[in-house]
Amino acid sequence: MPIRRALRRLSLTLGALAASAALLAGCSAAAASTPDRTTDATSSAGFPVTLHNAYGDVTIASKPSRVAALGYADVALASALDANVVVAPQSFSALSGADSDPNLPYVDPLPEGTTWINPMNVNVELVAAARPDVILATAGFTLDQALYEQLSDIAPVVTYEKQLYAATSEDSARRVATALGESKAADELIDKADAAIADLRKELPNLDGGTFLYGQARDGVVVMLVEEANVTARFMHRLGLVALPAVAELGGAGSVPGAIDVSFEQARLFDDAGVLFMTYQSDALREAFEDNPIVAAQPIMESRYVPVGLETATALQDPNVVAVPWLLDRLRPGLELVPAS
Amino acid sequence: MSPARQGATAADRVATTRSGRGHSGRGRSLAAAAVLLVILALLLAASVLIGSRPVPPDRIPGLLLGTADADLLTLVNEVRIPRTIAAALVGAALAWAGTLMQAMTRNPLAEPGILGVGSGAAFTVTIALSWFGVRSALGIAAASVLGAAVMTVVVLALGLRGSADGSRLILAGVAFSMTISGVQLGITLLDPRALDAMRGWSAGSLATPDPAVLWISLPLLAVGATIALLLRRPLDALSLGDDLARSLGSHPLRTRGGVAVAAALLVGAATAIAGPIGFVGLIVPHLVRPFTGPGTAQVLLVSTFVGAVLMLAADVVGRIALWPGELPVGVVTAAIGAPILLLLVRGRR
Amino acid sequence: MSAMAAILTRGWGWLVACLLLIGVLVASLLAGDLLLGPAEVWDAVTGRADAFTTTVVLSWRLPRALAAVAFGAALGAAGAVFQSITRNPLGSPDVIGFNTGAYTGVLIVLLAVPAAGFTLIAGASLAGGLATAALVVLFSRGAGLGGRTFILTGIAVSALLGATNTWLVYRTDTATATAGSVWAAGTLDSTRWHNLAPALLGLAIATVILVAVTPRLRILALGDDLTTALGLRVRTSRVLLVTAAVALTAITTASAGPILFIALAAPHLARVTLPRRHPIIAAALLGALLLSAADWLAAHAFAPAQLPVGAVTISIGGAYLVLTMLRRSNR
Repeated sequence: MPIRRALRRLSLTLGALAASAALLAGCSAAAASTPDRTTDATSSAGFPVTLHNAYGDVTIASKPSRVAALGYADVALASALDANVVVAPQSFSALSGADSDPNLPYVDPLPEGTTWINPMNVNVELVAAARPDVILATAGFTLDQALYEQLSDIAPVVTYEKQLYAATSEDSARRVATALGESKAADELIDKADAAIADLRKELPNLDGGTFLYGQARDGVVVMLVEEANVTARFMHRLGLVALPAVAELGGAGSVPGAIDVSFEQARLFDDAGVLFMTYQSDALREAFEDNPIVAAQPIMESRYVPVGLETATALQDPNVVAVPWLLDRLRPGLELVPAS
Repeated sequence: MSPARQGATAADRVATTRSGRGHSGRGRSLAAAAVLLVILALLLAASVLIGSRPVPPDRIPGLLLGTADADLLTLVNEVRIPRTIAAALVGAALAWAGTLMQAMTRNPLAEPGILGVGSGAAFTVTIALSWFGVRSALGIAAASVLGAAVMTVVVLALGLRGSADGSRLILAGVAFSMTISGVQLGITLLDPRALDAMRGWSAGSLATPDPAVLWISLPLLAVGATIALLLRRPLDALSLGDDLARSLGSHPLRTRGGVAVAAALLVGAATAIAGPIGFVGLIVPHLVRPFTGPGTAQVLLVSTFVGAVLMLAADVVGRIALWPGELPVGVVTAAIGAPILLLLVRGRR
Repeated sequence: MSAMAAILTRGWGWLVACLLLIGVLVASLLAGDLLLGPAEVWDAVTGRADAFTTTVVLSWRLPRALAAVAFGAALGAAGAVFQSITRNPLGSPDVIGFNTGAYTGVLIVLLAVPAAGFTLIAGASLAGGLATAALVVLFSRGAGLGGRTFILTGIAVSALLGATNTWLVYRTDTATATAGSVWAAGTLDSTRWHNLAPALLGLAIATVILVAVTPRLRILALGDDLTTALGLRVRTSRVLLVTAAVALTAITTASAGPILFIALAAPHLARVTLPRRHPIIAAALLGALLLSAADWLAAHAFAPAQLPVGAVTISIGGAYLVLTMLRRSNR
């Protein structure tokens, strides 16, 4: 009889609900007892420390000894602060198959047993298998509340305060250092980065007041990162460069914050820039840009056009203090082209 | 509709299409075509002159005579004109493909993508971009055509067997489309570069038309159009129902196969030029049929212009809506087309 | 009828389906990148394992497995209802542009709100989907529900929103684009009791409505005239059924994103393999089985990479349709 079957199904559903409610109660009890952590005997200075994350507050009881890093800035900082990194994100080149080495170019190679994860698609069980006692995700690409809560089941999670890329690189460095109990070392890293920039500006006086353009070419349109709101543009400003006014003053909307979208047809405007840095989402788009009749006709393409490599471009999306000396090294050939103003 | 009523309107259609439609029918088509030609001419001019960098009107004589300065000549000759031609060709091709699909399946909701051609093209382009690192526009276009061709062959091979009615073909198209899109989705989510490369291509764009691509598309378009024209009478017969069509001497199975090949060629070429552009194929026949009646030849004739007009308009709007950037044309066609379709649907009730 | 078919229709089909479902459930508890043997999993279930293992098994794997069962059942049932009401084997909730609208809502939130919470995203999905459905109904006011005007309007609105979605994904950065695409593909990653419990509650309520109205479905299938003659109010019944089906789909979509194909295929599979007397329950059971199997594949077949379950269901769905066609043509 259909009604009896229906009632049976209904009771099954309700039963499942009841069971899950019971499990829920059981689970919250289970989750309350966090896994054992080896406490560092030598120092507990600054611990326990409480940090405010965008998704909730977190308390780290003692100095972590096994660190999981989910973002590029996180692994760079943790490694530079001599932490024991057990989980690290693969580099973008390794992810897209362009390179087999998952290590980031500006980070010391991590030991053999490191668990490598895909930062665009975090496999939580892999992270759990490595038994970390803190999870750093201040630069976690795909972190959302659901993932945050799931990761919190394993260990305290440290992530950004407001949103991705909102904090300055110095603040991020200090944040990670506080979580790892190495606040003084963070200041040293920040000073090292500042010194590298100051040295570069001294060696290349042509940068002062010089103009730059940094864009990502998509089909028919270049997303020019020129406004202060954009992290990459801000980095260029720190080097003394200024976004080319002819483009910066065009106005109009940009595909990402702090950017202005400019059609290839306007390529003539690019010509006066001190240097034209371009990145591409694919080789095909690079060809489409370089072969475009209007772009190809501009003299700057022969003299001051610098295609930026994948790792450099990724690092520039969120320049952390550890990457700065390496970044300056990679950008240097292009920066030397800027004519003195 | 009851069978009796269906037969009655079918008979009307036979009478009008077979006997030359009478003066009013033909006259209306020609008048519509004339008006459209004027609009088309205006849009062609607009497409050449308007853009992120507009051509000042006083330079036009210089352009025509070839005496204007070099970069303006480059802009017009090497960017705007190929782009205009591409837009017109793509619009017309998609409009024809849509007309053919709707006639073949006797379903006004059919659109060119229903045979899965678009997903086949997207799949091979994804593979080409991410696994083979294809760089040139010609390479991508070739991959797109290859995907479209393979998909068509597979869908036809499976869908034309057994019963000759169109539903099996649609089902085959949907089935393969789903499988392929699922696999393609998996690939793009496992490889972030593929995701980035594909989300640009998927928006559909006329911004960087490669002349080589236009050249290889022309023969495909020509063959597709020829097949379509050759099949215009069988298609008219098909609209009466398979049995009636057979009694009139048509072969529904062969007609459908031929039409599918023609549509695939047209859509394949259009996708190779501009990436996936949706919606044009769906709505142009709806815009045209109220004026021309259901006869395939008339609809094809007028939809050539309407398709080209719609595409050119979308491209021009895309160039100025987000100045100094550009809006991908695939986005604009839906933005323009959807309200038009809604108005049409409401107006008809 | 072959012996196999005879056995299946005698109710053994139900048993086999249930056993398979339990099998997949167990397989989901056992599999994962944190390698656990059956003994450890059993310890976790009975509460004797350490906190860590218990967390993984009971707080991660179990809710995810149950979510696959519950959402699969919901989608299967909703699909059966829609196919019955529209009398069209391709009838599905997305004809009103629901999924596309839900995606638009989610994209807007992802782009506008920094660090959006789960509730906000689920709410945006619901709001977007329902607003789109309301828009379609509004635009096709006067025409019958399911008629040609209605479907055309649905297609138009869907296309418009679809283009908006393509543009929003195009203009944002890689991280947000990935997050949006993963949601749009439908995913059960990061399912925990916290998020699942409200969804289960909502599904239970919708099921109650459905169970109450299901008996009318068979009468409705006889045609409007006969239904009215038998004293049943056609319009009310239809509205209730559609509401229940939409609610089941909406809740599932809000929690896990749009998971395609289950609603389409589960009723078909159910008709072929299980007795036809209880189409909705059969569709629900097979939907649960399909989604659980798909989720297992999505989570473990490409380890350590994880796919969103929607990518798998689409591929499987297409493959299933293809096989059906191949088999039919060989007869």
